[in-house]
Amino acid sequence: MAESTLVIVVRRVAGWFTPIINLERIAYILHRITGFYLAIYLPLHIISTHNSLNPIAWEKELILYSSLPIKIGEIFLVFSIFFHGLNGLRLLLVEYFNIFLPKKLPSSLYLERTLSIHNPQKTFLYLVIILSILLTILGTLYLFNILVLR
Amino acid sequence: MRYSSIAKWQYWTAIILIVVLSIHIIFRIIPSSYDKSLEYEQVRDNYSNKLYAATLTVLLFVALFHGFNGLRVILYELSPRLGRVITPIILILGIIFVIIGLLTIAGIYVFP
Repeated sequence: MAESTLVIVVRRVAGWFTPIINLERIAYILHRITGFYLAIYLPLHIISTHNSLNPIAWEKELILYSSLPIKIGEIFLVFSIFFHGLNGLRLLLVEYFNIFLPKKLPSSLYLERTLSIHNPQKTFLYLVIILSILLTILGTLYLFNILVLR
Repeated sequence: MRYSSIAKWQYWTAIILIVVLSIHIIFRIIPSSYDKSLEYEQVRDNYSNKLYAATLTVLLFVALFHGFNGLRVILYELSPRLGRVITPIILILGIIFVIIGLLTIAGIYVFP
């Protein structure tokens, strides 16, 4: 029983990646991956910050933070925060507040040109990707102390 | 389009998260450099600011709800059976991490 559940899960996760046909699909997959990453990071962050109450434990945390695997993880964390946040905002405006939807809706959602490729929405998606990349670059520079404010 | 109340909460927590997480990130940037923001005194100083501590409390609840509920939804979509099994586990883990987070904000160290 457990094996069949595992097989179903693996097949469905594989389904996220095949076929990658458009930008919307890539955004959907990235939203899932970054969301999953953030959900895993959050409890680790809560445990880690609890050690800030103990100077000795905090020193150990800082040594861990300076290691290369953690730094690489932090770069992906910065990207995850900005991409998931900005793309989430896009989804919120489109799905919940119905902004950027065409005035005249197609008669069927299964028509070849779906709602998702409506132009203003696609422009917003490009904006999300560009802003996420730019903010990740700035965040990475800050993480490596290359960007110092004041 | 109609949404279940839990789906609505997912959207509303997303809106709150954008605000409180922005404040959290700004507080990390204020000390001028990443290394300085991680200094022991700097971190403790942040918690002593009551308004920031209140923001962190909101962030703790909202981020845990949004993150863990999102994880639950992903697992449900992948396999409803797995989703059903994981829901109580996620709920218990959520409560544990809320307690650890609240203790951190209150300044009570519990790790051995």
